Amino acid sequence: MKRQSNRSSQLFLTELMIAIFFFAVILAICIQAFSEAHRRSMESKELTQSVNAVSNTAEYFMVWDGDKAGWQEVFPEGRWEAEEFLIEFDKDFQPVAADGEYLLKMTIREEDGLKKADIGVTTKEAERTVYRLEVMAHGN
Amino acid sequence: MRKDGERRHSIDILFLVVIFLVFTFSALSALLLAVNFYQDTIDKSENNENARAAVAYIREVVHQNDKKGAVSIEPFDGTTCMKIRQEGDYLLYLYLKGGELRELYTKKGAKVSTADGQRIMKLKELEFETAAKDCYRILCTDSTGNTETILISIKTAGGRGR
Repeated sequence: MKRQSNRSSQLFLTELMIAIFFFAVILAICIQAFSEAHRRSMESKELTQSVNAVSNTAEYFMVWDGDKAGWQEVFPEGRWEAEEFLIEFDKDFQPVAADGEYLLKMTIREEDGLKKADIGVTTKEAERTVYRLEVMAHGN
Repeated sequence: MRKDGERRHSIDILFLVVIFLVFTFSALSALLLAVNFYQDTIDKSENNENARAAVAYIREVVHQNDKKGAVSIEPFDGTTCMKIRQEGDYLLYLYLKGGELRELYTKKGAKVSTADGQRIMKLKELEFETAAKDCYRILCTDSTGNTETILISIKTAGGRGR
């Protein structure tokens, strides 16, 4: 009777250990999938906001009259450094004067009578380009 | 001897019960983690889409009517609207009424009010302002409180866009 009881508890323990093993394996796979989904969601948000910031800059570039001061009025947090216009953004993509997480950089050059703007958003530390766009305009 | 055997037996049971409780707790934690991850992803996705859909819609409407003098920001029936002049003396108004983005397409001179507009989507706030010449700034806050700010320029106004 006693042996039978010991055997049944051993059996239950073995069953439980097997269940925990499968549970651990499945949990590891699930956590991997969830963290991947979270990472993609964050990347998607980052890309959306970068596209928006770049599009806004491009929209103003299209009607820009050539006066650098105009940029400061439309984007008060932005600044000119030589021929580059810079806007810094915090992690929530709100424009900030300094110490931002992201950096929007616009470089303007003239080619064949056209003004071309290369606009890109990069992460400030890793210098990873999130989104980049080149636009052209004429008639300045 | 018998007492030893009984003690071992009760420890065996206790060990099994503890392992079973740990297993149950881990399973519940994993389930809650999954629910939180899913909820977070859905929330982020919704926040990403709502305000963005509204500004994308407005941007598209303005770009479809990208003509010199066609777009202006004007008061309309107690609210501020984006007024778009279309061909054949027709007007298109975009505005916020009763927590909804609305669109009203009407003939010039017709007696209309903001209540006549077609509902597009729910929004908390919608502001139009002139950022620069031929360039408008639109601030849009959706029902979840997510705010999007966009600039829309009238490219054909100066005839320079590409």
